[in-house]
Amino acid sequence: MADVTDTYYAAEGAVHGYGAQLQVGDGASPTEAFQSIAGVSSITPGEMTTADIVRTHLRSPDAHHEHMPGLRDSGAFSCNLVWLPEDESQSNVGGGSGSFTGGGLVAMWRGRETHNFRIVLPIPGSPDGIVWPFRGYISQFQPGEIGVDDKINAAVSFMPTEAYDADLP
Amino acid sequence: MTIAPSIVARLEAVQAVTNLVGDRIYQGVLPQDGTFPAVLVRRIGEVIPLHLRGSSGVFKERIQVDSVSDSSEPIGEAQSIDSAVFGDGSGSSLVGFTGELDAYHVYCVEPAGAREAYDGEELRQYKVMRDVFVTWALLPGSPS
Repeated sequence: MADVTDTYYAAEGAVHGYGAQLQVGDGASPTEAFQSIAGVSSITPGEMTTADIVRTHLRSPDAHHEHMPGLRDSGAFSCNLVWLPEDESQSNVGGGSGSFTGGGLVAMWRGRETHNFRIVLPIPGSPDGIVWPFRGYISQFQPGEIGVDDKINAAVSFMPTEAYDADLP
Repeated sequence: MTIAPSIVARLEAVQAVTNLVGDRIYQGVLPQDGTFPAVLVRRIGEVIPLHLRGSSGVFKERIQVDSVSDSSEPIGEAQSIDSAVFGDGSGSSLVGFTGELDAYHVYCVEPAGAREAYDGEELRQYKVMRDVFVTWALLPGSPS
């Protein structure tokens, strides 16, 4: 989108979440293949933060705190799933011939494994969509409430192990 | 601007629907003395989120699809048509469809409810009225 200053315009390029996929890499080199986690109902990317360092002293101007940026950090990605306990992408056993051969999310959590993950967003007119890659491990796997009013869901968190922001669109 | 004409086109491309109603898939107005069974598509609501200087570019319409029968077994026929309209929920027909339709990119077609009614006085038509939410954007370069 071009410079929009002082114009009125439709925000072309807005993204809708339906069709998005959360994928796990198989670790192959040099070309890694990715396979989608099944039953994903929502994905919340991790917060991107910068620590605040206060450098106020007794003679700070205007009686106002002084701040400076500290280290950046990338918070955990979280996603909600339709819990499919025997699915290869979610289970302990795993299956198939792709990223989940050695086990699904439960196995990855048990093994404290670090993987390449990526979110693929559908974009109109773009067959490949937008890819949001990160590397991390599963910091939480929580099956949800077992009750009568809903299917059993699950919540999973993925903690990035390093900065990924340079790869963002 | 409504995506309803493109929903008509989508249903016209689904053989399971046309096997039951032929080309009698209408937008907005159902011919009162026409041939049945038939399908009627119309917009009944929309949400257009805005930012402070225009539209967000993503539109959401509530589309009602009526499956109408006046046969001697109107309930079963209308429900069969509705099942064909619904599809497998993964885009084989309408619900779950995602992709390009005419000048639009359809992000998703979500089920929004269904109800049934019978006009026993004059028309003797049985209807299954199904609502879907259609979320879409204009394809790049399409006239708005």
